[in-house]
Amino acid sequence: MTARRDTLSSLAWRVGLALGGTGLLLLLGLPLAALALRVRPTELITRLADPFVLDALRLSLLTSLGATVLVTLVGLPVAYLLATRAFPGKRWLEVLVDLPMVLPPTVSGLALLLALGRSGWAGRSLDAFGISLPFTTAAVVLAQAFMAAPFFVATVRAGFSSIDPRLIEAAVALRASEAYLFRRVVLPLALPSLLAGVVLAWARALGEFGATITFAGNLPGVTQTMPLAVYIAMQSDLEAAIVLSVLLLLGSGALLYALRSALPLFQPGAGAGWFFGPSRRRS
Amino acid sequence: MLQATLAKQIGGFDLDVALRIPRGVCAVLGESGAGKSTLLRLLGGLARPDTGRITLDGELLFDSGARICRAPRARPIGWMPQDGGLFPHLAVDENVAFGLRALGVPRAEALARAGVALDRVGLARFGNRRPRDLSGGEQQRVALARALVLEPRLLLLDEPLAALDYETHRSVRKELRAALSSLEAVTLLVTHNPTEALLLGDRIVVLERGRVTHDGSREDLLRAPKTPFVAEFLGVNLLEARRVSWTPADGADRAVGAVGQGSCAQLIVEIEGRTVRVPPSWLLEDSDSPSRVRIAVPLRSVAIERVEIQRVEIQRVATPAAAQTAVFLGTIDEVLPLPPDGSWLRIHTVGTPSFTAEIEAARAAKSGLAIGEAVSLRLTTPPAQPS
Repeated sequence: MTARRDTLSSLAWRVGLALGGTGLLLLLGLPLAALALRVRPTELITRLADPFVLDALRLSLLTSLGATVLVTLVGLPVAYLLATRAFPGKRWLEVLVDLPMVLPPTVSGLALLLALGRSGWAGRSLDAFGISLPFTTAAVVLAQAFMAAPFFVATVRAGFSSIDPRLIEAAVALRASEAYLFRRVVLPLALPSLLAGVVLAWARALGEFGATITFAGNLPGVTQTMPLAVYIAMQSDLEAAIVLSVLLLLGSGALLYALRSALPLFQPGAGAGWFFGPSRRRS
Repeated sequence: MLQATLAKQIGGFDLDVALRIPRGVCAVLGESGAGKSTLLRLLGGLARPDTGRITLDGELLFDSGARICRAPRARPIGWMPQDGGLFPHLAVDENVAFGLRALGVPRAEALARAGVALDRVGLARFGNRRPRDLSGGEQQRVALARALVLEPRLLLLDEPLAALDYETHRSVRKELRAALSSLEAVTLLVTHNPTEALLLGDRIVVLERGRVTHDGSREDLLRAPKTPFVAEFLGVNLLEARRVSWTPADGADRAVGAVGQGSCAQLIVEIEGRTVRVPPSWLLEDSDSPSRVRIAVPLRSVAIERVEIQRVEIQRVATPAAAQTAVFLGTIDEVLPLPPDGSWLRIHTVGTPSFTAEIEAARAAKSGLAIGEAVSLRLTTPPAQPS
């Protein structure tokens, strides 16, 4: 009897797993397949020459790379501090860094506008120097960086935290200063996570829509990135919207695939952190 | 000479030790949780004592009163963490050169000196390999080279052999002993393994629950174990006793009451109200007061028999002639078959005092010795054994 019940429950378990898997596959795969199969490859290439598409593509690459560099520069120290230090107000800093991940992007864009708009807190001071951020390409970079920062910080911080503390101790006992420790031990061991953080931040910046349109507006060639162009084109030229969408889909997919393939090559010891499954630390 | 008085509280655990350790190898022996690793980390500067003072060859490393705490990089230490702690992303020679380069030694010179250090541990040709391509024993030797290349005056080794399998353990142990014996440094080697401590340490510090319970030469430890923990691994029962009389071999009686005859030296002690005659070799010569003594009773000198508890009369033997038959009571709480074939058993009893005894398994079975049984225990003079 027990054996029979075991077989049944094991069967139910497998059916449950299969149903769940199939369900998610359909939910994610069906729309993307519908999108990708809608355009012929030849049309994709001819449409690339369209200035509307080309401008958006160029702008998107420029701003998303700029945002990624910005996030890396300011995010790395924060990720390191969060991973290695205890300080008063740490929890508040953590919440602050996580917030853009859960806030509606339009809310983030509005907040940016209120701070950096011409009559905003910081905007007024900038205005005195003749600098006006809203509705410029720089505003796009800021909006994208705002939205991408949490992904970078969380991933890189997890990478720093997953380093075996005994290696840190060994380095310190072997006369390493903190800067030397960071350069020769922490950074190399967290390289997979750093790479993952950069790619995730880039992908997030590339796809950013709500904060951009709220803070930077929708000016072709200046602030109209690909996601914005898709939205605009949908109302006039559906084919153009589809081409742009497919480009975004292919680009992002290739980016994530490359990341997954490259990660094992950067696997000297520590894992890539929570985002890419359990760390593969050498036993 | 390392002199350290240290106190540190971590959670519910507190470490409070005072040590004076001359040059040479000192094994710090203790069970897990005794505070061994914490002690090493405090000495190395990786953790900060709450209070205390550390000097090495007269040089001040830490003083809570003067608010002096030198960073690890400003202490002349060598550090070998458990299982080596090699950096997995650096080649073996870069691992060994790590400390030198951290001190600003140019790369070429650092690598050259690393090569010499690797040569000394017999791994000269391993410089280009990655740590993961090395066996556990080789990794430990690299870690030792990495610590020694800095020419430390205080070498701190945390369980250097614990992660190794038995065969590797033996060979690395031998190499470690050779490498450490020629060293002009104070070496502290932390271990939970008594054999390792006795083999590697000229001096042995026993740490129990954050306190030093023994600090002395290897011979001291063997001659005079001070706590049940040490006694158990040395294979003796440690008993508190009161000295009643002492008759040296010449027959001159130095007893309180005139007892004892014959040509053999005799020692008569009182243990928990029973007067027992024991061989003088059992006496531990480390007593502070002449009457309070401690004796070490070998495990096979405890005769153990099952008793029907109702019929037992506690014998309080007053006459020296009958002293050898003084009987203690206990209950068996542990039975451990001994290698090689389990034909002997180690039996632990609880009572006043508790005993550990060894008995042939066949005899134990015949007299029905099992966990939970009430037993009587006698101290027997061991038959003369050729050895």
